[in-house]
Amino acid sequence: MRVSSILKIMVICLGLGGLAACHTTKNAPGAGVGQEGAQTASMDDESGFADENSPNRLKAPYNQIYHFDFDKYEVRQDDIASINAQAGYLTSHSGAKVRLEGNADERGSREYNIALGWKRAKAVAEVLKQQGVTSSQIAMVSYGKEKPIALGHDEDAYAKNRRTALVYEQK
Amino acid sequence: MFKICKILFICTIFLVGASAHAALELELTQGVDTAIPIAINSFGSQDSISPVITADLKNSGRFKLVAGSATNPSNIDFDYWRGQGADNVVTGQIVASGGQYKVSFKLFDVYNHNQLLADQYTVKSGQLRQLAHHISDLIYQQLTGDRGVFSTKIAYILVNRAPGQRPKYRFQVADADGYNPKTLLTSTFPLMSPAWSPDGKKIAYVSFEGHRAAIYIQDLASGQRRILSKFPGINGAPAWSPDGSKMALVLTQTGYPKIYILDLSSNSLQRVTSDYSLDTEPSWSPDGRSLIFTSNRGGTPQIYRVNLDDRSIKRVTYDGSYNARASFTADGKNIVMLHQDGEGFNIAAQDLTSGRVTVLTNSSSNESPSVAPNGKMVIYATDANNHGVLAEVSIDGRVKLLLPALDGEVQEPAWGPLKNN
Repeated sequence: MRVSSILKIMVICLGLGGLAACHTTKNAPGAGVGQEGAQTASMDDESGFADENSPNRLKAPYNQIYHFDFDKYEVRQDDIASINAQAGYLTSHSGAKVRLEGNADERGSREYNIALGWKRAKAVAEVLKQQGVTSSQIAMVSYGKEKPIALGHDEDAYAKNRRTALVYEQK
Repeated sequence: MFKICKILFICTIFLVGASAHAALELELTQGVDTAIPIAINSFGSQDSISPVITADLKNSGRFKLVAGSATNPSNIDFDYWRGQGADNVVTGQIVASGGQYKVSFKLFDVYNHNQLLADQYTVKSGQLRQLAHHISDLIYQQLTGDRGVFSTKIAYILVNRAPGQRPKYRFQVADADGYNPKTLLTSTFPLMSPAWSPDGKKIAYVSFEGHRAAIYIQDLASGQRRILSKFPGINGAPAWSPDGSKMALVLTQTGYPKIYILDLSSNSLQRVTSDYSLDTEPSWSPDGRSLIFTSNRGGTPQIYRVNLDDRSIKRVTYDGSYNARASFTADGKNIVMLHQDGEGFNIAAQDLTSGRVTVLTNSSSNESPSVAPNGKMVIYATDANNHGVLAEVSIDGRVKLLLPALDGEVQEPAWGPLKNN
């Protein structure tokens, strides 16, 4: 057995070079990109929150997770009420903003799974928009298979990973 | 008026492993019967060169190392070597000289007694391993006719998932044999899709810092990086054109993932595909005139080719229910891709003239193939004992190697280009 290599991490200030067209970004809490003087850090605020059986499903503003069937991008019927509840909050709080994170199970290529995750984020976005939520209140990202919540290689894990997380960036 | 750009400087520090330090351990698991028998003699008392040459040639799967030792390096006993079963023999010397090292080597044909190669070098101690790889390249090319890739680099993503903690993602570049890993970026956000510039000086990648996808280009020597693309939605699958002037990428500006081409000097953006399918994973043909890409426009993911002159699109793959992440071999004659046939995902090569598909791996969870710049080897990600590792297979499927990481799960390898110096 080999001794694992010890890597001294000397990550120093990680920042971003200016874009060709500089713009000021309003940093939402937890969404800062490359803070000065700090290592790229995550203010991951959606882990462990949204439990499918949680009483918070119909309450807003609460983070949610919506699951999808294999090879499907349609929102499940029994998730509609929860999404509508979030929509109701968003339409009455114009400063509120959600991030929809689409995900896929681990099978197949990484970038194609980004595209699948995108469809799942979009599906939830469409329901929100049908309820009158404006696009400016909805940010979307697809993580494809990069952020599994279940690490197994079986149907149970696949089902848990096929999801869109709805995360409040601003309430 | 005067707009203050928030310019945050970058000083990503390279992690330097000790000079003989491997993050990945290359192990040959299958070679070929027709391997060339070669004997490599010791280069002297402090010989850090011949073990590297020996490992390089052995791990290519195309050479069989023959035992024996030359008693007199300046007078080759060809009868002895023929008796040992060698077709070729290498002799060499390392001599310390004023804080540096003089290295010389010779390659002989045992049957006709010809000296095929000879050269000598003066290098610093930190360059010895690199020199050994260079000598391996010369020997490999002389005896096989193909360019060696022993001096090339591989990029990959290393993921550490400790229970109860946020995952840590590291973007590393190492020598092709897994030695001298250097970390270019550490993040608590996912990293993916590393893509080397054709000159090997920059790498593009996708990062999700701040919960948004963006494509970055990072300069290897300086550690400086810039954002190439950060539109709302997907910014993914960067692919440099063969002349380095353009980047193909995936954006969702139309609401659907489509292939775009961004001119790197003018910043002009053109959309290449249309409609409502999922199009992704563009890859350039060696002549730069077409892209292959993955699309579900026919139902399930398959490979299509778009001619950039007239924008005509043709389907390329018909074998298997799922084909994705295809790239060309350097001669443009084959593509290598992720392929699902029945159960499980394997790596396959398709001859573009005949359409014939050869499946190169035979387990169920393989992905992310990347072809070596000499077109002879494919590096890919696979699962061994529930652990993400890298592996290599030759383009004909006969040579197999494993590169498990010593620290973390490895994924998404990208084989760097040949250096033309």
